[in-house]
Amino acid sequence: MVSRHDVPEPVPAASTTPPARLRALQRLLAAEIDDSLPAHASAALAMVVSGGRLGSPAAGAAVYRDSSRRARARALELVYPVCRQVLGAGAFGGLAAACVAACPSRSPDLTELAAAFPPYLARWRLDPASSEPLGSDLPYLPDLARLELAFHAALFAADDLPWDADGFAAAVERGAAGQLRLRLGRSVTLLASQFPVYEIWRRHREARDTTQVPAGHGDRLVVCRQALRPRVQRVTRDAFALLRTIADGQSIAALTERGYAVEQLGGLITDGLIVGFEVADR
Amino acid sequence: MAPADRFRHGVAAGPARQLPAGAGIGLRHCHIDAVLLERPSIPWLELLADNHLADGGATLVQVDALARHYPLTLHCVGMNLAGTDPLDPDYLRRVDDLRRRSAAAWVSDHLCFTAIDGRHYHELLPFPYTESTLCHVAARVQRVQERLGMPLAVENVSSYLRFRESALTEAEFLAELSARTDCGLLLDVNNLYVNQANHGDDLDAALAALPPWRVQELHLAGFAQRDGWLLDAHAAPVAAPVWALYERVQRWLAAAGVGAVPTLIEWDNDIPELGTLRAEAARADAIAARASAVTAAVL
Repeated sequence: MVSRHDVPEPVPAASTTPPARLRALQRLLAAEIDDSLPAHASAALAMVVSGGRLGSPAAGAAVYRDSSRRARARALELVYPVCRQVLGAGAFGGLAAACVAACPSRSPDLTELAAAFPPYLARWRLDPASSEPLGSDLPYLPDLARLELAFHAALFAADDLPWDADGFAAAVERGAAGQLRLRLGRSVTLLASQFPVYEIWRRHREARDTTQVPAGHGDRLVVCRQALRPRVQRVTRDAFALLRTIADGQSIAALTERGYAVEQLGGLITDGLIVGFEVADR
Repeated sequence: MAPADRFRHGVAAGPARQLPAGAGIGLRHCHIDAVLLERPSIPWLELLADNHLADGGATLVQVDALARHYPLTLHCVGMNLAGTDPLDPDYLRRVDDLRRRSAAAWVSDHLCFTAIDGRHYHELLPFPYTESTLCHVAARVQRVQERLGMPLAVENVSSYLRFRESALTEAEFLAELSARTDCGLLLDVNNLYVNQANHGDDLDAALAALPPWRVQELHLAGFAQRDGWLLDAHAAPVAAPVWALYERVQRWLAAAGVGAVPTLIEWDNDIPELGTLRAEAARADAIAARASAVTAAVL
């Protein structure tokens, strides 16, 4: 659903307490930039601003509108290069523009705006008014976007402290290992898709043949950062389920009770996917 | 310490570094690897802080490496200094973390609002310059400075709209803001020129209003032309009339007894080879030296 400003309240007189009038003026200009002002409010804005040599205030507001939208759309281009390749620059640009118009940026960090793109794509695919050829030919696109977002997020995620081997050994020694809850790295994202998105993503990044969508039965992927670089790994159904259960906060004892092969844990720690532990509440 | 000198470095809680006077470059992602590999002779670098507000990973490792080899400053676009939403504590924390990590000589942002009602426009939006808005912005600048533990440098912006009720020019507003808050000024020469072209601003009046001893940094960039008006596009070389204005600004600073002010070449779109940026910086250095020599001879 497109979220728009409400019709701005009347601008208080110049003598009113400054923040109130300043805020009202800012809302008025912001709504004009959003292109959501009714005609009478646009006229009100024109009464309080001038465009200088740009001519009308509307021309000045259009400069800000265009620049603001381009900055936000460019952020999507940076995070979703493979989606852009798949769609083509023109179609991607259109979708990015529609996304930034529909999804206001809620943070000074443009990456947070980029997070709106995968769910926007998912809604767009389900929208009967959306472009049907794209929607029907690229059912994997929202998952591909989720993969690209996870890849980008892994690049900037907070660093983890090294695995506390001594602390873990001490817990094992006192027979408390079962009560420990393991913690995944902060760069780790678990991503399941019914489409072979890993192969699609990899072929585009490596500029390989992308004319055919590879056959496959879907992917279970782990995205993380290793040695400062984001990595994407395909994992087995069992390993994925184990990681998801750990992410849900289950203790090692609970993992054992559910039949997971806990001997896998050593490898996951070595790979940097499991980075820490804490004592589970009983 | 003379008033002009105290603004050449941050009065920081952390170990902020002093800047050399030569022209620096606004370093963008496309040049970071080359700069770290080749370590070209550039007096200082400015990072667009918003591009480096990572929680971890390679970006911060790059910042660490850059800080080992170059004096740095941080330039922000998201403080929303003239906004009416509350200041964003998380954003300021991240800027402050980066400031400490990079030992930045100072931090700057723009005289504008960027967000309202929680919606961010990622654009430098204008507001009316009045006594009442001055009180409001001054209070916010003070709070930012307290959070960062150092004076902020506030930059004049290009504008495409003006509020009719403004009782002050932007220059008068900045002068009074710096007097009330002790903030420094980042004087963007291209923005001065763009506003003269778009709004007929009086450059003599602007320079007469601004306190030269508050000017902490100068910015130079290229504009784009659209149907008889100018856009602050940062996508082209510095234009001839902006170079001319830059020389005039340098003479104005020298005549006021202000020592060399660090100048920065900004280029954010269609970014050229590093050599092109360095050539622009060398030209800025030559003009600054000439202006200083001419002024010294006259005085």
